[in-house]
Amino acid sequence: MLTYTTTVANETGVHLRPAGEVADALLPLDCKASIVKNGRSYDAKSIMMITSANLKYGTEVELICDGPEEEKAMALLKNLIESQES
Amino acid sequence: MKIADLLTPSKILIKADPKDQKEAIDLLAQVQYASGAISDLEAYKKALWDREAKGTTSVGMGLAVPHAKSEAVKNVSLAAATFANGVDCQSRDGSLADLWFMIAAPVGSDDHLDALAQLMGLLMDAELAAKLRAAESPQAFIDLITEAEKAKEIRDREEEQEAAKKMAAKKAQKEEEAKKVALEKAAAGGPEAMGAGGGGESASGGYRILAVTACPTGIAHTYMASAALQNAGDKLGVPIKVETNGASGIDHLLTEEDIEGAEAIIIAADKKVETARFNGKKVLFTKVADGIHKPEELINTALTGNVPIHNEQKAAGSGAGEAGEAQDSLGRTLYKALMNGVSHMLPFVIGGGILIALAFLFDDYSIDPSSFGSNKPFPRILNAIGGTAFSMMLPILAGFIAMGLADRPGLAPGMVGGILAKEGMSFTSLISGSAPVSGGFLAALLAGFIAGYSVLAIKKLTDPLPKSLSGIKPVFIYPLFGTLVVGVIMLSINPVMGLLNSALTAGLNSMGSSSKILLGCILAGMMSIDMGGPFNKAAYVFGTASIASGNTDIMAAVMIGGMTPPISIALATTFFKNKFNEVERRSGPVNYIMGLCFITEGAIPYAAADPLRVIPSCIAGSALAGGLSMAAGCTLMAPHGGIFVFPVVGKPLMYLVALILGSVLGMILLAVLKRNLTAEKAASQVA
Repeated sequence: MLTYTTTVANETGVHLRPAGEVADALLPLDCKASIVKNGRSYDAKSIMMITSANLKYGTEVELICDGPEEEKAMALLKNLIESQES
Repeated sequence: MKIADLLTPSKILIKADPKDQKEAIDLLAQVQYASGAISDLEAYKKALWDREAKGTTSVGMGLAVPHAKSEAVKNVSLAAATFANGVDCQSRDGSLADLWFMIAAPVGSDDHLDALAQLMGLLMDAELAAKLRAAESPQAFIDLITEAEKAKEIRDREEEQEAAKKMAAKKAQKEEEAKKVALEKAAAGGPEAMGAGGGGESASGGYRILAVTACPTGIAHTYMASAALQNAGDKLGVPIKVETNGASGIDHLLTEEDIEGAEAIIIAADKKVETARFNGKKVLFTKVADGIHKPEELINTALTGNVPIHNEQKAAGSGAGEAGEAQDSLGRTLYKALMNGVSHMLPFVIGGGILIALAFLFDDYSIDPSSFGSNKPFPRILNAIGGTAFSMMLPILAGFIAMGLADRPGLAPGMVGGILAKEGMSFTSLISGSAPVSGGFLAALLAGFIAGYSVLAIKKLTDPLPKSLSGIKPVFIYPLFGTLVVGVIMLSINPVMGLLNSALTAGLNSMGSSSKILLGCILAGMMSIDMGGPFNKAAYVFGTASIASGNTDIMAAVMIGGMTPPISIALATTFFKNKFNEVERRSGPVNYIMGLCFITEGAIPYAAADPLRVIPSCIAGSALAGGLSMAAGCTLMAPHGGIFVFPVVGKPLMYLVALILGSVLGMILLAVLKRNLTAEKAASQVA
């Protein structure tokens, strides 16, 4: 299991489009992926889940990936949260 | 943000039937426009399509959330629709979208993100989505949302509490583990090196109160205050961690986590301690003595009292520490700065003094009396090393006094001023080449204060400078002008200080034997008056200053005065057990060690418990010892060390006799003055 704590770097927050792209990319991977905010866990394979987490600029989150392809998944998630382009 | 608040019946279409995505978007955009949220329909539509071009907003499960941020939007607005037949919007799961929410957001707001998050949170519930699709009227649609939001709010709150509980449990577990580790460490590390230093458990985790204790000498008060605060904390049930800034460095260092979690911080210190790290916390500044005598009061005040929030700027050059010490009186500011200088100077005096004294010990006086101390090679080496340490004592003193007043920018000007004072340079000596006359200890003291206040003044004067220039203050303005100002002032006053210093030294040297004995009595007695307080320190500073000017007999009298009280008390507890309670008797033997190590503070608990009888006894004992030492002409080059520097004492045998006689006198007076305790009282705890 991989865990990683970081903060949302995009000034416009994590909005629908990047959330959808990451959810789509994560879906075929053989591992669980979730974003934990304020102790609540959101499934990162669901665009709705990611969006409902309301990840705004500066929000602290913990990324958790667990499974054979966890490293790939973590890289995708990190990119989603830490990317600065909107 | 509530979705129901954004919806009105007029913004909801039920069972509409557009034939494709374009018609659907046109339809909903028209609804938004009709509601008055859009100023320019075409511009808004264009923004929507631009957004669709970047990727579909149809998130799957038949749900589409087209949205756009645009100049054409006046305020956040939401429109919704159910379609009789879903339309294809290239959704990610291939489903046809038949439940639509269209969001309009003005530029520069992220309200739509909140709305989107809230929507998604609601619509993940497939049951709600199904009910919405089946809704027969706009009002029914809104009612469903309202109800779902209420339920979600309750659920969210519960989940939040659950999450908070989980986090707390996790934290507690971590703390438990840390405690275990600390305990294991403590068990492996053995007992504390110093009896008085037992304060400050190293077990980490939620401390409500943090404290820092520090005293100028850093060998006794610091640790006594630490122990007292620790005990008081245990008694009051307040978790407390005490950092000691002693002579041997910092123990039980407060970590960032400790500071983060603490409610308030107590600084019980008579010298400067690092306080910028406590910014934003309640910080109570007080004397180290208060830490020893009223620890419970301090803890209570810190927890409940009106303690100001500490705030100082970290940057070098800004007046760090000013906020914390603003309430200090001028006298206390000067005292703290002086003690900062003295405590930094001591190691130089100790190292240098003992090495020089050793050089005398190994040398042969008869070879050449005028160069006694460096006649033979070995003493010459010791003398050179010791002399180098000694030569730095005045610059260090001045530098750290200035630093105590003006922080880091004060150091360089202070040290330069100290060297100028030591060399005794003046305008006349530089221009006409006349021999400089050293201003000695007094001039160095003055140089430190002048440097400190000069730098403070420069800081004030440069305050109006633009922010962009503030970077060059610590690297250019303070060093240059601070040093220049101090230099000029010192060059002008050095002739006067030189005269004064010569007069003082000559005066002390030429003092008749009777007045010298009196001086010894007074200084030694002062050491006992408050055992570490201002009287004690005044005598002590005078003693160290006298080493600098070569009057080493004064230092001898001062040290013996400080060694006597604990020994007197130890003797009394040994031979007059019925005068002391159980606790006092048990800690009696420790006072032999304290006394022999020149830690006067060992006597404080006894003095505090019964001041009117103990203090006069101690003063008398000290005064006798000091007077005898002076009469016998004992000398001491080292300003500290107790029994360990006896080998370098001039006339050590007489010194020992003086110490014994003084201590015995103290003991006898204690025996006479103190009352016998009844058996039951004797067993009770010390007050």
